Amino acid sequence: MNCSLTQILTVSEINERIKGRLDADPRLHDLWAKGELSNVTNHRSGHRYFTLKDRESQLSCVLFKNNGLRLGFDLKDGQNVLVFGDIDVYRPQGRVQLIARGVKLDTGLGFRHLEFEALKKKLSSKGLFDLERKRPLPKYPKRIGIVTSPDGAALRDVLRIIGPYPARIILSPAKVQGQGASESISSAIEALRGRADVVIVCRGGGSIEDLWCFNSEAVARAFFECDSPVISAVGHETDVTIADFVADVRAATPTAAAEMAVPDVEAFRDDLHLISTRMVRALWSYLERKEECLEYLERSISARRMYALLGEARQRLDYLGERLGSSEKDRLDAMRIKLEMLERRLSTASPLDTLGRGYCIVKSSRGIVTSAKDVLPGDTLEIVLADGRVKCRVMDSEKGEFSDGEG
Amino acid sequence: MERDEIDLEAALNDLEGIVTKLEAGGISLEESLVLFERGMKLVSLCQGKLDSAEQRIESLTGKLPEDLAVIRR
Repeated sequence: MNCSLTQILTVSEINERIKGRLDADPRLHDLWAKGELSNVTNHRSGHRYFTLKDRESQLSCVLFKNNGLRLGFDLKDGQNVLVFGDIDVYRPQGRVQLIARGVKLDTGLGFRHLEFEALKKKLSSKGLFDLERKRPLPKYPKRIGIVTSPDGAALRDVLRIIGPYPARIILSPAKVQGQGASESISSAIEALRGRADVVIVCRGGGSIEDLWCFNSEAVARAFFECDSPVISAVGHETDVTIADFVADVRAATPTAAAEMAVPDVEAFRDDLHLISTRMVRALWSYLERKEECLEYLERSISARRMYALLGEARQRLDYLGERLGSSEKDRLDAMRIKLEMLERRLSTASPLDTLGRGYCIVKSSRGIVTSAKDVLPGDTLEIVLADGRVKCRVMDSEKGEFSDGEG
Repeated sequence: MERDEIDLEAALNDLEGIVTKLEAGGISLEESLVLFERGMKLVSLCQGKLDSAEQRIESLTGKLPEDLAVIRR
């Protein structure tokens, strides 16, 4: 610096410099100031002047008319408030002041916010929020525990969703706002120990004060120690509580929680339908393969066993048909017709049928007799007829052409 | 297996196994029919369970608001 060390400035220049410094400091803009109101003056211009003070210090504030229109309450001395705005210098008086853009009654939430952050930090350090301990939700829960107020809309929202799904619903009633709510919620969760496969803890929207009971260590511990996975659904999507951090899954709303807890019943029905169609189709193609086999077996004697199996199959199809839906029934009817057709084809190939027409089978001790050379005089033969057997002895055998009417 | 006792998850797993076996083939007609019958029985048990019209809700304190005594679908 080349100029004199003892630079002389005008008052205006000094205030200008101070203003420049304050304007340049981002920490002095868009800030919230917390304190008690005093010297509240409602000027006839519509602007409001007041002093914000705490035990050690005070700060002049001004709320211009256009900023104060949507205040919603009257400023009064002694009120604890939070003031939003920017720090500026009022140059005519060389006064540093807060140009207010909004004023809110301080209901202690500032303190609550600190409390919230402190608890969050503490529980986080103890591992209550660890992702590794988050448990997966059961796909098909048999027992669903619900911790909420029996009178709330949240419970009805949840029941509407899980209603179509068959499960036992166990309500563990809890007080979800006001004095004693934290204790009520944590003991309601504890009461579900060993009784549920999944637990939904929910309540509908409300003020921060209403939801505050979900920001307690007792509730966080109960979530953590619950023996089944817990879904939290507290307030609206934008409300985040300590309980949400500990829960295995956080849902935006009670309805969303219910949707996570149970499978979609319609999708389940579709799956069942698909499975029965696949079974019918598999059995059908099995029968078709067997039909091909039968074509080889048609001329074979051992049709009796296939007969028995087909008869049995038909009986079972009848039995199953009585208990199925119509589309499966149609397929079964087609199957039954096919079975009947196979049976008819079998019966024309059956030796029993041939015997019925006057033919017979002759067996000796060496097997079926197909040639005159197979028997000797004195042999005992068995003649199989359609309705019985005849035992006889050979008197003579003669080789030669068979001709009707001879002998 | 009673309708109320059926475990949907286990039933669905069983059904998957049955369908796979039926589709793979290589089993006797006898076996196929037994599997088919068991499968159809499981399907109808599951459907019956899904169809059960009343939803039971119980309260650990024993008290329930009147509108919740029976939830109908």
